[in-house]
Amino acid sequence: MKIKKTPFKLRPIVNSERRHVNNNRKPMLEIQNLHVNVEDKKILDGLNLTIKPGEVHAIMGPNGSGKSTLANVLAGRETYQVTHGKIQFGGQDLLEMSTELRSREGVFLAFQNPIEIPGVNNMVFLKAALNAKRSHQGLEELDAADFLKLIRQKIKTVKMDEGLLHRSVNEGFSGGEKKRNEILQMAILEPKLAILDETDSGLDVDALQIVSEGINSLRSPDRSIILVTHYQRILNYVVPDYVHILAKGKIIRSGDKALALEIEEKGYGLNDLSQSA
Amino acid sequence: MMTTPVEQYVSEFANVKANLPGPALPWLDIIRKQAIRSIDRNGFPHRRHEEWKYTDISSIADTFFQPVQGTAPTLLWKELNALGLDFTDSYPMIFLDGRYTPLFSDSLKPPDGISIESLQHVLTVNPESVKKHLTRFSETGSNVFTDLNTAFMNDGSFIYLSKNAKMTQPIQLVFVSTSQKEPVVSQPRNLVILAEGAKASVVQRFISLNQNSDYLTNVVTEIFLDQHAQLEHLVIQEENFSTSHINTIRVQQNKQSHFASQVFTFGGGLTRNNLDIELNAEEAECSLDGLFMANGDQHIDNHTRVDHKKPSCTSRELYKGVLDSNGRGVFNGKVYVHPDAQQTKAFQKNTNLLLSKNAEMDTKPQLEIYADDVSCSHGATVGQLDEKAVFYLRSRGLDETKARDLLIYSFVEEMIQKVRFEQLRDQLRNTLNVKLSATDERKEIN
Repeated sequence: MKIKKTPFKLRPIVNSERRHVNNNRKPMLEIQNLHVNVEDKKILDGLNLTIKPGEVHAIMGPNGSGKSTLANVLAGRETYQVTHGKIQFGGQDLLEMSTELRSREGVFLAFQNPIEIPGVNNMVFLKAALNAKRSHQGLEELDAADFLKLIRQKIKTVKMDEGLLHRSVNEGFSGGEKKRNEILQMAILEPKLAILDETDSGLDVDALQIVSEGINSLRSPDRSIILVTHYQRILNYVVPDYVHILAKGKIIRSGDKALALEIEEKGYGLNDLSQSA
Repeated sequence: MMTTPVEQYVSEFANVKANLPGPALPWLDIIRKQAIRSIDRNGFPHRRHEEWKYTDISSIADTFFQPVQGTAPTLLWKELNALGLDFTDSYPMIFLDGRYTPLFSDSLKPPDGISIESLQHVLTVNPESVKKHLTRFSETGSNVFTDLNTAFMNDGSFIYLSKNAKMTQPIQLVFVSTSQKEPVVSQPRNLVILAEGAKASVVQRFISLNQNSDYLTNVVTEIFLDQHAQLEHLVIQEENFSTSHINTIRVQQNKQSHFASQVFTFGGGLTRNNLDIELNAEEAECSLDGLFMANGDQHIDNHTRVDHKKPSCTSRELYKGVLDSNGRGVFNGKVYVHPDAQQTKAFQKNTNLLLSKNAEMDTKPQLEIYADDVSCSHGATVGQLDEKAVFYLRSRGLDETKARDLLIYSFVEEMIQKVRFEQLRDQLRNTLNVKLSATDERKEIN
């Protein structure tokens, strides 16, 4: 499939994109005073964050601020030790749940560096993932024919070449193809909470636009999205409801899209920010 | 004084030699006697012997295994079907405890220029056709197991392709052990000769009919490839975990011949595979691929040796091992580049996956180079499953067992994809799944 190149265009923030947000609903995710160590080094130091259904939160911050740590802790990576704090996901204690249970209950992490798995067919992998979730929900597993029908429909949202379905998972994929494959997985698993860990990194403008359109098409009143990013560039396409600045293991500022633009203009200016916070 | 197993083999030989095939052939008589004398003189190797450093064969050396003689009873179709073998698009030969059973003899006939016979039949009817090559590549005294096979040689296969003959279907030699409890040794002997420009595929499969029988398989295969001949050779071993298995393959290659070997070891309590290749003329090529999976208390030892004797030959080798539970693996791969063998290309690699802290792998890639214009490399790795990859799969809802199985599958699939025949690839994947799920179930119990 050929991807049509479109010129770079800044999309205006339109009100309709905020229509999903309903502030009276119960939180999807509540993080309270989260402390996390990696190999005995403190990375997160008392982080608080509340996300309601339908909201898109961007988390920005300099390298080493703990952005990816937060993403990995939410997905249940065992090498990250939570030393203190609570995470509630849809009223459940997230930290008590195994990685696979979190996934089946609707947590999805789009990896910064998706893993290559030679010899395992991408389609087989996607089907196994979806059926793990379906059987957890008490639904019948999809057979090959039904799955093919579903994936043909989903693959359009990320404009991915169908040939990539028949290759090994991420093996030899370009950076953009790997990221699109992540969004395809998200489209298939239809999570309640999607955490996109630097999904924009390493993408050219065209790929960024395609991936962003894929993400936008998955915005819904029942789905919350955390966009972890280093640059505000992706926020021109996926417009967040909130922007948080993470530094030295905690959120030091929160605001709306304007905050991201301010960061782009002035940089993180960490010393000033921490003084004013 | 107690008689040792070696003494028992010597006296057994004296008792049965008149009943072995070709008793009236003086050349064969000489070879057999040399072999039994060599066993008497050398006995079984000890672990002090460099070639057996990591493999303790005392369980074999301390037991007298009764050599299986005579002709095989006919296997019934339903018994064969119970083994779940698929002979679609292949030319099968079935052996019971090393003896040919003519199950398909009426329905199958090889194309012109190709003969596929039982060795016993050839030694009885037309011994001249094998005289030139039989035992020529396995000089007595070099390996006690080969000598044991030679002395009691009773049956096996003789595959001959005349000039430019091509066999498109794989020839499947299926060795079924029917042994119940008694310690017996079945010793098939195979001779494969491809004349100039001939092309064939041969598959050796080893299966146990009974799951708890304690027997020894000691198979020897000699292969000769003349100029431009091409042979694919597969070994698939799925015997039960109480058996011992010694598989020796010796290959001689002439100019521009091509030999591709694939050795899959899933079964057997104690397995030793010996694969020796001599590249005897210019531009001969060989590729050696192997996959072994040991769990339970399995011990799997792969010894390979490639002799580059003439210029411009190529050898490429990749062995992969998966070791779980108390499984032990040994890889010893030697590439020997003789002084005359300029412009040799030799690449060797052994990669292993350790899945349990009690599993063990000893790997020893060896290059000996006596020529100066060569391109050679070798390497070995022993590693564990990538935890990042396990996390990735779990984050997509797969449970830990499934995630690990998928990654093991990912590690071994490369070797299965090298198999050209779809029906064999499917059977290998089935075997793999059974083996993985058996391991998983045991883990859940423990």
